[in-house]
Amino acid sequence: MWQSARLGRVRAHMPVVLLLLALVPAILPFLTPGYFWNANDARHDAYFIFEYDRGLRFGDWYPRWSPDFTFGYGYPFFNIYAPLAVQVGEAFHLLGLGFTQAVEMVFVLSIVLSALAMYGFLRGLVGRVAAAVSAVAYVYAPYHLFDMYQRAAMAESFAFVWLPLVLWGVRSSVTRPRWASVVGLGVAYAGLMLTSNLVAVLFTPVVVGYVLVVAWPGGALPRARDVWVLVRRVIPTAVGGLLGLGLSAWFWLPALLEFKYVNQEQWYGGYYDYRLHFVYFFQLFSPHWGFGISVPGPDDVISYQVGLVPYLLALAGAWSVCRTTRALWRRTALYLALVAVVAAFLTTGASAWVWERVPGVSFAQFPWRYLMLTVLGMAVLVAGAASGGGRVPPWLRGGMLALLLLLGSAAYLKVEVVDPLPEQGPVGLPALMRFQASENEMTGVTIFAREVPRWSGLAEIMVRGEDVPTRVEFGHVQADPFLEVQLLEYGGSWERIRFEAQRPGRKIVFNLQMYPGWTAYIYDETGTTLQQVLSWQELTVTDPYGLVTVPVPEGRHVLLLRFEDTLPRRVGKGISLGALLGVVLGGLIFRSRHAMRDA
Amino acid sequence: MPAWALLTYPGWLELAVGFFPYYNLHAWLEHPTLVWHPPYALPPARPALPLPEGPAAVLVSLGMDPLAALRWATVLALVLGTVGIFLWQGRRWGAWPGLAAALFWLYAPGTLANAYRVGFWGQFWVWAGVAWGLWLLARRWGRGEIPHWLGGGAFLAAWAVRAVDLPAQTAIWWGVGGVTLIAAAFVGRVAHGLRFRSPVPALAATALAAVLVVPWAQPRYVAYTPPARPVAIFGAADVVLLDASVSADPAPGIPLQVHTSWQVLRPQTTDWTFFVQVLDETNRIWGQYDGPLGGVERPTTRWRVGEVREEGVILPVAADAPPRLRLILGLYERTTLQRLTTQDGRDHVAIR
Repeated sequence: MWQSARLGRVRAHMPVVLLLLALVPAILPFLTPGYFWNANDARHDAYFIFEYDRGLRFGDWYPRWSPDFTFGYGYPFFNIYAPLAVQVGEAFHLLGLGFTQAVEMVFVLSIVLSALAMYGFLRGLVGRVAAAVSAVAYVYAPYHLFDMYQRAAMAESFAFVWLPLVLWGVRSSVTRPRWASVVGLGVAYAGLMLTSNLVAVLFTPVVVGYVLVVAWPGGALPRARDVWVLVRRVIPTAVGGLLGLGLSAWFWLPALLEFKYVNQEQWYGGYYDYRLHFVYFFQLFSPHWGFGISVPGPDDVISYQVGLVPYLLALAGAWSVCRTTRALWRRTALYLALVAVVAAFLTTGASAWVWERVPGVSFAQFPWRYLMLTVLGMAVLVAGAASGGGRVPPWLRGGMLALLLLLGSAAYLKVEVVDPLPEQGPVGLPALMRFQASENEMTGVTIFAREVPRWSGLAEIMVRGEDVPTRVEFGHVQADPFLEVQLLEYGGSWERIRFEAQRPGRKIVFNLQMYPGWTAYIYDETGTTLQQVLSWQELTVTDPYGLVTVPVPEGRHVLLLRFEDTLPRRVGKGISLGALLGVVLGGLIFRSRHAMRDA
Repeated sequence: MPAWALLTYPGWLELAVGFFPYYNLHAWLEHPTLVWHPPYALPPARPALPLPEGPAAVLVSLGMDPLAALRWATVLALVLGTVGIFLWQGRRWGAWPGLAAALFWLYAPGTLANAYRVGFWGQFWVWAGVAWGLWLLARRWGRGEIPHWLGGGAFLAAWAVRAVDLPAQTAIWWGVGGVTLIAAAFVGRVAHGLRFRSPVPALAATALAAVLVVPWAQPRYVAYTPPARPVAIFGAADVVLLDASVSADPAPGIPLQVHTSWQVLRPQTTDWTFFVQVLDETNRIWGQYDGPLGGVERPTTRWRVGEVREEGVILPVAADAPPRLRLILGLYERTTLQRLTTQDGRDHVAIR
């Protein structure tokens, strides 16, 4: 009896075990010695973690300001770029891994978690075996592999984890509206927002549609009663969604309100113009695979294929789905199939009018990013192929399909491991400076700059491997005979100096780009009595790089310049704290109500 | 869709027939007839139906450019063929065995290799016609074996008549196509025997076949639009001079920039040497260039069949040359100095 129960448990978990084993070939490329330096964003990933780590070691628990980007003039990178994947990488780094190994571990983790997330989402709908096959399809979809091995898109790859989890949260909060489901949805949505706000924006309309698909109670023709049922069912989901927004507000609110203070041309202009990167229809099916970057025209070296095997199995799955009697599964699969088709359409030039007219669509930057949604929909449909009846036992059918999926992507399971060039690594300040100079990357500027710097005095020092203990622009100080500056302390996003101005109207220029949040505190000579506070609006800028410039009073004083929270950042934090408190309180209330009911 | 989508590339493919379908389409558009001798064909040219020129011409008349029209006409032929086999085999064995047979035909190595590497695209129209014809026969005379044997026999007879006197390469691909069609019927029978009751096994088997075949038969693309006819064809359709241009009329003392585009339609066993000469009326040479076609790095023996290679040379012309000059170019074998003749027997091509 006991043995039979144990056997049953083992059998129940067998699909997960086999799924994890099936992930090994996808993980192996990241475990090979060396690093894929030439992958599109591989260097960026390593330097994102490097810079986050620098901020952390300077004492910032969340370093919105990255002091070494833009040749040392700094950039508010983590104020506008979702940080979760970088934070996961930083966690690996704190555990003792090098920066490049930490990046690779983020990808490994994203593979495992995205597969488990897909499995979890579909297990309740189509059974364990079909869910495991779908998870294999999700991980081995060529675009997913392309995102990891060629693009090294750490945030986007990690976002693959959250897509099924959000859908799972939606389904649970509609069909089983418990506090845990609502919180689960909230956490998943917050996770997505904190991993990639870009993907969150693309995915949110899909989520809203899925809420309606799952919650819709009636047939094709709506009746008044149906609408009320729909509203009642949607409420927990809406709470979950709001919770997600609340939990992530500390990031997205300032990102939303303060993105306008960075030069947006660098994010969406020139090479990043979406019109140059539409996918040609044949590219969706071309088995060609290569390493490079997205280029205008049809002759990309890299691949935007949906995958022959996933496509054909998704077709088989669609047939199976149309015949199933499980209504929720049918609705889910058909809806996500529609999403897959629409997303594939949005990658092509035929959809240019949508990109021009529908707000939010162009947020994707590169049209082929929509393939993420195609991958999701196709992977779900593949579960249909594995779940259909027939004479073949489910485990055998599932095993064969999983094997087929592996075989279909086997040729793509590789990364280009190369030795770093001097402008790539080893990860550190000198290589970061060389990288910025050679590629004009990580040289973002704020709207206060009139020019994008090509090099700097700070970079000149850092490239020699020396540390720069200040951001004071001593060229200006030395040019002013009535000004003297003495360095006291420097901490990445803040600096304390003592100065003596022998005439009024003196200014101290810092090699820091102006951005909301810079605040100057002027103390007396001993540095104990605060005499004046200058917010960022009261500071001035020095051309051409829009450097922070502090007008200082006459006499001997101590000046503290610090990158601080602005109103949106404080409000965002407050909302997130409130949401967190709501989660805890809600949990306690629901638990006590349960206990009372049980009693 | 994956089987034909690769033909929608906005350009051309590296085919064994090069741009011959394109040249033929232009020629047919000038003199459209139901039966014709395609001027650009592997010799000997035989009377043929204008396939794919006819359907492509319809698309051209709708505003499509000729290269795209040929590709889309082939897409249409592949789709028609697949549907025809589905109907034919579906009527005989049921829908899912029919699907298995149709997908087998579409993803068969012979079909994909012909579509993406060889370029005898007219054959797809023939196979589509055969499949639809067999379906019509089956509709007329029921599900029995007789119409299939009749149809198969008629097809084999036509094939045998057609294959007589064909050059080996063409005959082989007619054979491959015929065997593929017969094999598709066999797959339908097997799928029936295996009791396919859903599309899943057929699609899974297709996926497996596609994984094995498509990487091997995937197209290489050419981003090049040639003129309506080639400048010259050297050898037995071996080396095609697609285009040639000169910066100016030859004149004494003025260097000329000569730009040429080439293609080989068979793997070459000779590294051809490319010559360009400026001659006067007495054939005296006043300017000359000789060098390996494709350069030392990529001589013609290393060219892929169907790839387009550009060759540019700067040719100085003697300052004391007479005013009336002409420019010729051609190919020769370096060790024997034997020139390669064009299809019409000339050993050079006059450009200006």
